[in-house]
Amino acid sequence: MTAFQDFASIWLSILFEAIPFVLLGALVGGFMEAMMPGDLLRRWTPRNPLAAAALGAGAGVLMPICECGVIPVVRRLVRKGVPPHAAVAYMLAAPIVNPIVAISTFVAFRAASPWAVTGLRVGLGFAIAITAAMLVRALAGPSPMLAFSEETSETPRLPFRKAVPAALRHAGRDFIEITAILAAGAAIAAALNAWAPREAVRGFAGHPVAATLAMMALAVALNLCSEADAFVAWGMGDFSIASRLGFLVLGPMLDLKLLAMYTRVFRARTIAILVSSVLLLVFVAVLAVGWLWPALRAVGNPLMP
Amino acid sequence: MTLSGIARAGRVAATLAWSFFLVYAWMTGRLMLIHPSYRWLSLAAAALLGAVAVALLFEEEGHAHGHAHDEGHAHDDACGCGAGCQARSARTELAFQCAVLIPICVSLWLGRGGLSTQAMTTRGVRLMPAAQGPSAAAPTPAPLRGADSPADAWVPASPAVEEETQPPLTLSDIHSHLLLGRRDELEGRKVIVLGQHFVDDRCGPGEFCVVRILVTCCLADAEVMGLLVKPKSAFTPRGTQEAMEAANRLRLPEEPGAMELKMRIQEQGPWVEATGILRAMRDRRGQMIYTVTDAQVKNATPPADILLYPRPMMAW
Repeated sequence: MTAFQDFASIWLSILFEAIPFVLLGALVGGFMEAMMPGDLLRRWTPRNPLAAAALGAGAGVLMPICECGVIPVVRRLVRKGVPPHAAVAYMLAAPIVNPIVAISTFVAFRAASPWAVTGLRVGLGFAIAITAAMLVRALAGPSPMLAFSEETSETPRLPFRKAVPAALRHAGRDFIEITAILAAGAAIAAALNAWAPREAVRGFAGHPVAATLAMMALAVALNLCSEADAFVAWGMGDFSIASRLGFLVLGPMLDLKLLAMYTRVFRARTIAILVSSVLLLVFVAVLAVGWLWPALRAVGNPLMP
Repeated sequence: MTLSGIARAGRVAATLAWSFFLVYAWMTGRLMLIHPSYRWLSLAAAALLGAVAVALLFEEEGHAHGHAHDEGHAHDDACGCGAGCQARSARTELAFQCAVLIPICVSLWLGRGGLSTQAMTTRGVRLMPAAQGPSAAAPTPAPLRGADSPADAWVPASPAVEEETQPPLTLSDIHSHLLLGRRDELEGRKVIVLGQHFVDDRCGPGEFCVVRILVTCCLADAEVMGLLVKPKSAFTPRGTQEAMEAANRLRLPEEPGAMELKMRIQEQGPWVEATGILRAMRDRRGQMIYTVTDAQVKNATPPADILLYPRPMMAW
């Protein structure tokens, strides 16, 4: 009973925290569907794939939505003609490059190289999002990437008084669908969070490769909000800054609840490519940061040697 | 009523259920599972979900074709996909609607919820570190102290500077100081810490930890943090005393029920308040941690909200 209470409390807390953001994402998506002309985003998106992916990742700064809310927005973006790889770049980058996450990371690491950690988190998030998006585009080939039709949604222009209820109805449908999937993903996450001995990972802290893998596994298992995860990472002082960066960069891009929610946007093959690309890129980037850390710290942290 | 009609009614019911439930969770204290600064978002979401439910309620029949958006065609109100597709997508949608109601049912059955003492052990209790990074640990573990040599644990530290003019620090204050890198302001300060009594291998004879669950965002990121306490005089918390007496009444430790009884009493997590002076010291694992020394300890009543919510952004 106690074990179930721990699980259920964590499960509910993840949902309480995520529901407002899922709804926000669903509302943004709903208004996008009801009010945005069908070809507008397609016309705005650069034809060059790399430029499109970079624009997608950069849009995370202007349209900051956390990882729970980003899925309904991405669904509507691709329906409105945004190329899937640009949407992937936005989906991966938005929860990391947004100003709120940058500030919380800076505050959390204020006592330990805040400029370097924040800069590396945002920079790696941006670079990995673009690279992963390009890899998905290259490896997925001509096969369909999306879990639904790739035909662009050409919603007829509605007068404002009709567009608002229509947007709310789109949001309502998306909210129910995404929340159902979120609840399933969060249940698995809560079980791991409640029952897996977290202390066990501390045993890997001494070895760079094992520490990086342990922190990446922890990021996937714990399903923390990107606004709060920096404070948890700060507390793991046994681990090097580089391995903690693995936790900070990977968590907002890939965790169990996100993995479940990805199924509402992408086909299984696309998800497999996406997940492997992100894991590999984060692992390599973190090992490189660990190797270069003394130099990076000196450059990125001039005020706090 | 057709399956599509049921799915349409289900949409309204599911959104309304979450709208009412979020308000109910706020009124009944169930939202204590998330940080107070995020709770207003739940109320805002409840209001917006109410608006969404109203919009769905007045949805025209022709628009309510209930696609699950995975049927291989675009979300188009005039898709003309046929009765078979309509029924299949309605069934999928009904399954989603049932799934979103499960958390509400679990919460109503569970009550306010929270983490047990068992969860503290699983998560690991982190004692407030007196140094950050690998330097926090001794190169080789410090030898275990004997009961008669408590002074072995002392390490050279700055001279005791008791600032009588400053108010005593709480666990939350100490956490903020550590987060902001103000370790130099902690040594020698008077502290009053309220938390749950916890003992593990880091505690010497007569020592214990006072721990609280810190929540930065929601319970998923909860960390169990605390301070080692060296009491001025021997102290046995209320629950432990009862457990010891109950266990002593049993003839054999292996007697059926003995272990369950001890665990049940331990589950209550006795609450204590320790008042003393904060010092940086090494624990039995060789880690540099903050310790409440010369502590006067008393049994305490748990606060209304047993979780502690640090405000790191405000501190900044």
